[in-house]
Amino acid sequence: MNEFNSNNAQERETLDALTKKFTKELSTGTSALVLLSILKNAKKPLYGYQIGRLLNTDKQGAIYPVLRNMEAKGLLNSQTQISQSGPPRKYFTISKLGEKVLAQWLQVWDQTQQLVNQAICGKTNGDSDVE
Amino acid sequence: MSNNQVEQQIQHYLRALTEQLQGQDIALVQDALYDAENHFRCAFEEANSESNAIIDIISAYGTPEEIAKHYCDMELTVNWAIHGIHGIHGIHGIHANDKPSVHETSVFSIFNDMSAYKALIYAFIRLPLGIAYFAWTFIVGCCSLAASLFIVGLPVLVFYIKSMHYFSLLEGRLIENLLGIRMPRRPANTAFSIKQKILDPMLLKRNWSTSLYLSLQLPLALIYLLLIVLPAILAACLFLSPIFDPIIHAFYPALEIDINWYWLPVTTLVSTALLMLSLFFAKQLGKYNGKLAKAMLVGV
Repeated sequence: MNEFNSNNAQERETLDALTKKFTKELSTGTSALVLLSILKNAKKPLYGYQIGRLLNTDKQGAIYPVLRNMEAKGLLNSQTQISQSGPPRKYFTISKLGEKVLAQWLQVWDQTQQLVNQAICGKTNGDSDVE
Repeated sequence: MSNNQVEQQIQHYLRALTEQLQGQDIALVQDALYDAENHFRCAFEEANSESNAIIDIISAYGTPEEIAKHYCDMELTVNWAIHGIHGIHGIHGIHANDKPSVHETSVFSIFNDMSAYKALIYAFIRLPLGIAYFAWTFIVGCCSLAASLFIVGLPVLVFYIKSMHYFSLLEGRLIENLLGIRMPRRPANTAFSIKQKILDPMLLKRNWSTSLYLSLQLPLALIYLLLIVLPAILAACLFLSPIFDPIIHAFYPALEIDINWYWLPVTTLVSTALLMLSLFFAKQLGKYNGKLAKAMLVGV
């Protein structure tokens, strides 16, 4: 009985760890796409905290290194403005290069989404490819 | 919750984040702390400075452990993408070319080293920048320091000290882009009250060390001029002498210096040696300059 419980606990742990890893990889892989999309759809420049709130994530701090990285690559433009009561705010907008990159990424995203959905729904059973 | 307690909560988080980032590049730590502090203060302001909101704001930001991991992961990815290196060297901001590969062991490999040419550009802009920094430090800084003894110079001194913050950011950007050494990418200052705006910059050691760094730039620029800029210019002049020598003599026939075209093999050899020397010194001095900047502009 004890052995059964310990096996169960071990399995749960493995499941949790694998799910956590998958969630992390998925969110890391899509974070730049999501941020670019938010800035593309925004009608005005946004600063870090506003973007974090729109994302509705439990780790708002994780967006800052991504924003800095995208700015360094020229995908985003930024402008620092002095706030009347708080600290100076860095407002981000999507650059021309960022828009082009986003358009390409969205194509890749659509293809990936289709492929994944087909696999999940069992439409690709691989009969023709796998002996 | 009082404003004092809000401040304590923020400082507590920042201390925890610093602990989690222990051993990482000091510039990365400064960026992470700046981002977190700026976020908390912006969010707090958005929440109409409702004291109890700070707990939710901090918890929504992510735990210090998670956030530290994100910064390290991103730094590794960026370093891998830019320099093709992975591992601890990436995090610590050491230049990819610090460890020469097999192909870089030859003396002439420096001619294929892009980072050496970037360091050469850095050396060329040292003198004009050194003069500007020196002028700013001595004309504005020293004059306002002397005048502040009679109170009248105090506002100018505060302005001068606050300007250090932007000079260090400018110098940091130049060093990171031209010397490949990781420097902070955000200004490390958030001021709200009058006390924070005036007194804090005056008490911040980094502002004073930045001032010292700026005043050191002119003597350093002279070393750069002697060891890097002049040899590079001389190399270019010698190499191009078959073209420019006849043109110069057409305008100034009495000029005594005359390098005839048959000297080309010799001038080519000498100019190659000079350029190699110049690139070598540019790279080496650039590294030391980066270390000095990190110690004086970030590490205080």
